Amino acid sequence: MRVRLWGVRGSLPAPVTPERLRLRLEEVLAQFERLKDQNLPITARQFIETLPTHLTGGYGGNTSCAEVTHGSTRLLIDSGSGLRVFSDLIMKTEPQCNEFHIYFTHFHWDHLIGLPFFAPLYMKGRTIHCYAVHDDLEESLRSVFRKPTFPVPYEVVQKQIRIHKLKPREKARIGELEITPYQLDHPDPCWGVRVEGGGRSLAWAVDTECTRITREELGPDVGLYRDADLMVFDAQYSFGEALEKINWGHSSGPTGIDIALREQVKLALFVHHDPSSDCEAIGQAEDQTRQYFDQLLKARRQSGLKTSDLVWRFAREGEIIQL
Amino acid sequence: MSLTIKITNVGRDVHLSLEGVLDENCQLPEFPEVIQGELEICLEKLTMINSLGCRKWAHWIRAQAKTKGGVSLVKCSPAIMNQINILAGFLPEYARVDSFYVPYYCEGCGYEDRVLLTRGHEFDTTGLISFAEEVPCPGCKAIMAMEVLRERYFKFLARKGA
Ligand SMILES: [Zn+2]
Ligand SMILES: [Zn+2]
Ligand SMILES: [Zn+2]
Repeated sequence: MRVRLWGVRGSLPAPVTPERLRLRLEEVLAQFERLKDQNLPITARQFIETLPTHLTGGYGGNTSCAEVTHGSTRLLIDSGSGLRVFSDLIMKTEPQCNEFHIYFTHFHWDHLIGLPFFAPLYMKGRTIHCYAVHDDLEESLRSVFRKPTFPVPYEVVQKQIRIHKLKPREKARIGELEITPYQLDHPDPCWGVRVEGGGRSLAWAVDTECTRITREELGPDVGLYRDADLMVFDAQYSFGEALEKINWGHSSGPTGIDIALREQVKLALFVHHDPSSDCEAIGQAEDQTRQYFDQLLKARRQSGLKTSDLVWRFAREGEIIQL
Repeated sequence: MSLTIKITNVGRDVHLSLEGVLDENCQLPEFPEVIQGELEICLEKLTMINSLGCRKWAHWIRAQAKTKGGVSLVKCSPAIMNQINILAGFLPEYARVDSFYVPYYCEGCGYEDRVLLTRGHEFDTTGLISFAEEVPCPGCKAIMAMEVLRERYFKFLARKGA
């Protein structure tokens, strides 16, 4: 199974401004000059490898969208602004592709705004299968294609769309993949999804505050996380911010770490970065999570508990993960 | 691993001691009435705290620890100090750390020790008053160094209310 992250921002796209990009460049060149002054033999590429994420590519500015492929099956999760980037690529590389599957976790705009820019929707002979647990799936899609916010009416794309309503916590098959929706904790109903294929599993837990945390509180929804090969988790806020923002529906790195450790997740990627946080602030939240994780492992060792092989990081747009 | 809680009433004060692991499964006590004196919480034997426990604690201390005399944390273990410093929000502004342990380690013989720092003696609201980063090892007489990073471990002193 292969997962590609087309959008890792939350709430609203957050493109890098020209001014910020210029400042980044200035900082990077200044650092390079300093090294050259010390006559250290280092290539430009080696130098770039030493820089923190916020000084190089950053974390990315597009909102929620991921692509999961296994064998000949391709599933998209959510249609945030990252979907437009996927659409552009697919039109170039696989223009004949005529069948697409999109799973919707919920219909907040950061998970929908890419949909009108998904080119296959306007092409005859294409089928876009749309899946969700929500009864109002079609009504929510219709609301995107409506004047005055968008000029093309739903009727134009409707011929290409097939609606599939899923049952909560029941497995459904899409080609070579199996998907199971599990409820997350968000102000409007939001359903995470477990995707399985080829003996590998993905737990998609984005847009969740995790107000239910113990196994008892989670009940059957703990099935989303258990033994997942990859967990993609909502870390919009720093731990301190998440404590303050009650009922905002988002979580933090340390909370994801604890769930991943308890549920024996192998790899955890943190997404839904706050649009108000610049890449430096996201980097700081990642550092804070790293310190937390290191301390926790140390305390576990000292208590005679086994530590963990969990691998994790804050995700960057465009990342490809082979499971 | 679980959390053991002992509650004792000392005059108008309430003394609480937490022992074990503070995680999402812990049950923290409820105080139906406002505590007339101080709530003193001893964290000497807290071995581990995770972020889910920290979140539970933060909600608990804000909702349950209603006191006239304030909240005082005493004998905070290194495990708790590390996480207090990393996980902002653990302590509300009206809660004070009145004493905490600093861990030391001897590279020579592997001896480990912890030293208790007390408000008014080794530290106060202005920061550290008197404190040694290195002490002689009782085992091999070599120098034992602090096992934590100074900038990180004492970060909490800079917070309002400390
Ligand atoms: Zn969102
Ligand atoms: Zn949302
Ligand atoms: Zn020694």
